[in-house]
Amino acid sequence: MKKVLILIILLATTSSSSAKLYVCVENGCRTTIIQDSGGFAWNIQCDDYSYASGYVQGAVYDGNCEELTIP
Amino acid sequence: MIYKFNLSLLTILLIGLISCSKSPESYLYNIPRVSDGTIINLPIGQVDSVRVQVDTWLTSEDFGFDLGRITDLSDIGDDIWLTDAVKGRVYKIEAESKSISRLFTAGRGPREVVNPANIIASSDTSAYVLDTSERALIHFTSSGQELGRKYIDRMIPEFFHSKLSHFKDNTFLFHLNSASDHLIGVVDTTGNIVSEMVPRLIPVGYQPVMHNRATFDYDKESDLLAYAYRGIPAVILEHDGDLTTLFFEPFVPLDEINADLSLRPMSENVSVNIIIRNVFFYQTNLYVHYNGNLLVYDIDAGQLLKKYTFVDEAGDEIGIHHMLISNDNLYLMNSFRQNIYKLPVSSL
Repeated sequence: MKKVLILIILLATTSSSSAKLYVCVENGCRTTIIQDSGGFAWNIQCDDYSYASGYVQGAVYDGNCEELTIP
Repeated sequence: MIYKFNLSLLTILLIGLISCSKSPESYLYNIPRVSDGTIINLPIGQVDSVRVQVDTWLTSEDFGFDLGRITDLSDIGDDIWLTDAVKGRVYKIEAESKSISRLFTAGRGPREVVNPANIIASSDTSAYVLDTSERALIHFTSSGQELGRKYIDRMIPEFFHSKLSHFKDNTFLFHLNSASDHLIGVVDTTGNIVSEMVPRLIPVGYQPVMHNRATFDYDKESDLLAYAYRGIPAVILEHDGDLTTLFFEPFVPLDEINADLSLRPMSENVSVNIIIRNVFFYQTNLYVHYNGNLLVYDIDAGQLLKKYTFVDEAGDEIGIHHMLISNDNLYLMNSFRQNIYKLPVSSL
């Protein structure tokens, strides 16, 4: 389950962007993504207690997670 | 008969000798400074394992809406404050009635927060909140009045890897950003970074960069610092420059439990499991949130006392993503179910 989500996260295009926060809950996992100008950091916590994190340099997140507005 | 007995005894002795002489995994020596100190092998498979049933303390229904992600909690005065870094909120819970109120609005002005990630109580019952989006250390009274904020440019922007702890001489420990040579910074109350510690594990420009994430705590009484690279199954204790490393999976290759430490190009996306989720001191013990479990290490005796697994009323294991102690209580959080569990530390 976690691997599928990680694969989805990998589907990103390369460019730059300002700081944004994305969150989604699906397949028993809660995914959080923080996008900054250098790339995005991702973090997945699943109901089975698994917890993983990664960073994709030079990419813009382009997945299904909803963007939350940071004032 | 005697021959058979001796053969069995010899076999047992041989197995014992082989297991005793088994070498611990050598990747640990790639961790900066570890080889300068003592290593204690503490295989968690050999420690007493205890299942503890816990009751739910708060759920998202108590709040009346979905929580974002509870990232920290602390007793502040007579209340308990919670930070929700995703929703950008700080909540105050009245300890007796459990009534919930929101303390600050979202924004960048006074008494406003954006991504409040961490909170700690000061000795005068005021509170310090770390806002990772603002990269600010904000000082509040226990009634929620802002006393001031200091900006720390080199603070990590990822609230899910952020931590704030008290340190010596009225300073704080916080997580430095990815560009730093070290992982932990020491900041004073004026916002100046006075020192840095814990060298990065993966050099700048290489993956897996998430092996450069740490958790830490400091015990003032014993002047003991505990820290861990979150993807490595070990905790390092430091006192007056002397290091002791507690190695929890000494006979398991790293690539069986996590991304190994071989350097990859930065363009490669590498997933790192967060194995050590938190470390914290309480009385004479070190508590380690290890995957979903709690390890209790007796510092004076140098022994791993117990491994606790937490279960609900039905006896099903609860996945714990965050765990901490505040005011003699242990708080457990499942971010997916949005449940918070609470139990007295003395009940363990």
